[in-house]
Amino acid sequence: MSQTAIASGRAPVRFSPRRLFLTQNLVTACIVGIISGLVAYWIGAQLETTDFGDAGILLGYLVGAAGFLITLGFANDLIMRLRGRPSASIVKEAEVKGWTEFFGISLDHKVVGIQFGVAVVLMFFLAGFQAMMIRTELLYPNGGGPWPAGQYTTLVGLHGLLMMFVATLVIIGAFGNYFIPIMIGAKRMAFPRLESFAFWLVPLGALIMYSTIFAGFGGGFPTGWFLYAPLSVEARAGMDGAIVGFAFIGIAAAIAGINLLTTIFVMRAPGMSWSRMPIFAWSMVAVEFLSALAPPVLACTLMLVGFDRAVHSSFFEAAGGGSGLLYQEMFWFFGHPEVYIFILPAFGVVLEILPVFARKPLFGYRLAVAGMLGVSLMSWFVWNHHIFTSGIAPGLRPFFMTATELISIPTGVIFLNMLGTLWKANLRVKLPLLFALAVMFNFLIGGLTGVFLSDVPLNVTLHDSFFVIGHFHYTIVGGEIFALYAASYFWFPKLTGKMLNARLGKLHFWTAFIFFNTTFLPMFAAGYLGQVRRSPNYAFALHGINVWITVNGFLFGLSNLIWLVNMIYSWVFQKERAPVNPWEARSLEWQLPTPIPADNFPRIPTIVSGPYEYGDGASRPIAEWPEGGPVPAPLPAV
Amino acid sequence: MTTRRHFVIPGLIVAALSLIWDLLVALVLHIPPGYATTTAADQTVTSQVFAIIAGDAGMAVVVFGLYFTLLFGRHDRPAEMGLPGRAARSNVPLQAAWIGASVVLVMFAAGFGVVELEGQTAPALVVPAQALAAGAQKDPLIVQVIGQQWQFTYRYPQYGGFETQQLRIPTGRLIQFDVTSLDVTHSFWAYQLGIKIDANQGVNNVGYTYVTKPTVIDVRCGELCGLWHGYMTNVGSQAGEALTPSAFASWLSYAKAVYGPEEKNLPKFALTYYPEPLQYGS
Amino acid sequence: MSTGRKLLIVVSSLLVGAVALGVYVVFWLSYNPQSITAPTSTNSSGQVSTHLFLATTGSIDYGTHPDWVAYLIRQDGKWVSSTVWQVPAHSTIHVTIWEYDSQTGLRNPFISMVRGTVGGVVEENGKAIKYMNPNFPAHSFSVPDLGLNVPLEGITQASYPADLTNPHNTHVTITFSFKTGAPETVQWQCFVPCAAGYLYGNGGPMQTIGYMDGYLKIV
Repeated sequence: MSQTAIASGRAPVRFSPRRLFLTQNLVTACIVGIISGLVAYWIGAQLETTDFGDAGILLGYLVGAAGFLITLGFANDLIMRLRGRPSASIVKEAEVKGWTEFFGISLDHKVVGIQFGVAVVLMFFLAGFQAMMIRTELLYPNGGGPWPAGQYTTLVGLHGLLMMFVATLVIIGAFGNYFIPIMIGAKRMAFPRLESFAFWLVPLGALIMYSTIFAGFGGGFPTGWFLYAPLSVEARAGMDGAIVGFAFIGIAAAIAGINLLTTIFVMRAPGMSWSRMPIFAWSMVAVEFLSALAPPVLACTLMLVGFDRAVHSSFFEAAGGGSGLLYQEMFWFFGHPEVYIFILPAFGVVLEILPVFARKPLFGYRLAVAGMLGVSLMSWFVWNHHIFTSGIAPGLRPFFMTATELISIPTGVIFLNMLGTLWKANLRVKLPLLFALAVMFNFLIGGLTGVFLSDVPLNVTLHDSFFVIGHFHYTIVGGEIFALYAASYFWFPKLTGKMLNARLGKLHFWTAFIFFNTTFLPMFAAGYLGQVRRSPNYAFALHGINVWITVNGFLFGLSNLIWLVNMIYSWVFQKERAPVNPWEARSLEWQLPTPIPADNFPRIPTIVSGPYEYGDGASRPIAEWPEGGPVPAPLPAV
Repeated sequence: MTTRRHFVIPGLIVAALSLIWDLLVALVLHIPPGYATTTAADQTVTSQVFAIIAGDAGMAVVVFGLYFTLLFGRHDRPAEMGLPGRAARSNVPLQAAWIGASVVLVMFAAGFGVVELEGQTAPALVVPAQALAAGAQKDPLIVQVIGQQWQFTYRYPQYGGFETQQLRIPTGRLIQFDVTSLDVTHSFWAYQLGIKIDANQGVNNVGYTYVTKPTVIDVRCGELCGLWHGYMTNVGSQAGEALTPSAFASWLSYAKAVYGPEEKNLPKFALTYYPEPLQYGS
Repeated sequence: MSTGRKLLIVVSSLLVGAVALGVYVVFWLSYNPQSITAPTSTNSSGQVSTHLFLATTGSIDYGTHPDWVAYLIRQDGKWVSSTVWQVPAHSTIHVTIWEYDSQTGLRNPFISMVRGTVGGVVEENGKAIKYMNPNFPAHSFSVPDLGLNVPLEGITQASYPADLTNPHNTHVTITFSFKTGAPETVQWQCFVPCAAGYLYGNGGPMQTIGYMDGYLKIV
């Protein structure tokens, strides 16, 4: 820690109460946020529109969030500009401030990447703990578990929503923000303040969503993460927190999307042509179109639900001229692109890792790019497959069925890229590769069971059953979370300067891979046998299979703790520093020293060849550096 | 020759495993929801077809992937497996073949689904073609399913419109379910019938089935609808039943005697209901 | 930083996390309501009978949320706010309900029919009834799993007490019996849209255990 601090010129921070309570920082932001939120709640509650004063609660959340963000400093630059003063220089603000920069606005994308990573992984473990609580209930048939009906539904909703936050932002937020500018040879993100803004919306959204358990009697919300109206309009006060929290995450995803997209489009280094861009950056292009365009629909939809709740408008309520089906359409218009927001970054990670460990070029680079862009485009035309049984026009169903099945063509291409890269490879079987292969296996099952669900007659039986649970956990956990594991083992040395322990890693891999499959594979059978999702009450006949799933689910949860222990141990306690380029990878981030300088490239390189020219003796280096290498030597105190 | 060997060996493994899997799916495994109705039989057959397609395709990817990993992950890998040439970057015929094969599979699955779907719900026919083919008449028995927090009730408009908690339908006759809700969105899932229809307030959702043999019907709510969603079931002593026509007739006369007197209290039969109080309680 | 100091920080933050999770679980468990066992009595011929003595109230000061309608149970001479009740299996349960709330009217008039009681009737102020005008019920006592449904007639506007805070005003006395089967835990609820201020009258107390919903533990 101290070594790092000196190397990058970090000044030690001295503690003073004046500094703590009278400057713009996290503590004052929390205080102002809470006070302004309470005041706004009191004002809104005077309207007394509903039993709990939903207008007050919604107003309180929004004003409190604004108070928090403004006090943290997000309005400073805007006010400066409005007053005609020059904006604070980004390079100046990017200068490191020591550990406190992780608890405030940072204009350094690497700091924001770490912030995202730590916050989202914490949320992952919290949501995972909810999953354990859910499975505890399902140890008992006929609703005999420890949580009564309403509390169980709230647990399911909290698990679902929080995991949505995690899955939306874990790879984009942590690895996208951290590595994309470096991979394309940029000194910073296009909009550094927006980047930090997107991050601070995430813990804020999670806290607001979690506050639902204290709101009103019993708290909680009865709708799961779909928040289907009119049930969400009818629900108790706890619903408001879920609405606002979810909308914040949508806004965060949209902002992060616009930011990464702009960065990739306009800030590439000289010579970084589209065909020389790392495939992970391409996956970000594909996903950020979705991330920028889909979540705003969600935010608007949730705002309408808020109106229905607080002021008794009736957008989603048939007796007042609205329609509950309208909510379902709007929600899934967001919701289907959303699931590709989860999986496309996972494809990017896997395709990025495979060539490094296969020591040969990525097979079918252009096809992979086309495949990911194709998935991105087609994901806009399939949303109705979530609501086949809801009473949509019968004539639409064959179209959406066919469109859904067509999307497996660009997805299948990714598998050809993977298999082709393995062929005649010189494989180094290391942990990132193992996890990447596990992603292939898991996502294969997830994808193929998706074809079952896309078929309308079959969907009628499988919809809303545990088959669906199995399917999307295979894609999101088996695909994206396993890609997160892979990315963590792959990039940890660059992020922290330490290697993750390989022995613990092997243990993590085998337990995670085996227990993940033994947990979620039986869910397909449970679904076929008629187990309804989100219900604590299932038939006695399904008792055995549920006990099996629960026990294996606990074991899968434990294997995640191995990962956590490994990260803490390797980051904090391991003395040995990792090599600068432990995997002998070619892409740009590995050519830089660890830790990466604050402005990434003191000297911008010229890119001269692609990132996957492995195994070819004659291949050129990836970049031509200005004389003296990527960083002026010796390392200066920046 | 030696290169070809590394396609032939995993290919043979895939063929053998696929054969076992296909026989298992086609002959041994019992796949719900069974054959009690035309819709359920559709789903069972589709499951088998898709399990065969998806299982074989998945097995091919897994076996080849595993074989390559084991082969090329060895330190003493075969000498002739030297570094690849241009083909390592792309192989146009292979890519075209892969896409072509996936297009064929996808179009088969989509076509299969469309044909089956049209067979169930051909819009021009009053009676779905498959049910007609199975011997259904063109006068369906109409059962109105009313979802409410938290139970399903059923009305029989052709028999006076009495309302009951017991779902009883006859075999050998086309059944038309008219599903609606009095409050939030529910989903009428009659497991053995292969029927799942969402109940939306203000919407009449219609589904057809044709029961070929008597069966118990477990009814559950599929769509999360609030506190007692998981308990919105008709199973056990409350379970529905598909009866023989004579048993159904005697149930009708019993039900009319029990539930008939209530009819005067019920609203006139309609496709949707907006009973008072409309909203926001008393 | 020394290894010992790092270890201290990591272990203490892990401990804080573990304690927080423990508190969190206890917090959820605290919503698991305690059940109240219905009192039994033995008559001269040795037959055991169980009595549930209940009341339904309007928006008066009972429970955590005072302006919600609620079910109460009589225990040791006092009204207790609880809706999880334990009754014996394979026996006849005698229920007496004092209904204090005013009429709301049913969303589905089908609920106005008495079903599943012994004899298919209930006694309302001593008068046996089988059907009710669907505009009259204030609440219902329904156990869908047992096929039991009893609409509870509300007091009329004329006799509605001016002082809502006093429960010992006019009430309708409803008595009926039902039979339990094998041991299981079943859910009971009210089907009358009686939750004022919520969409469809079905939110709030209608979706909260302890008010208009509960469990019947048949043991």
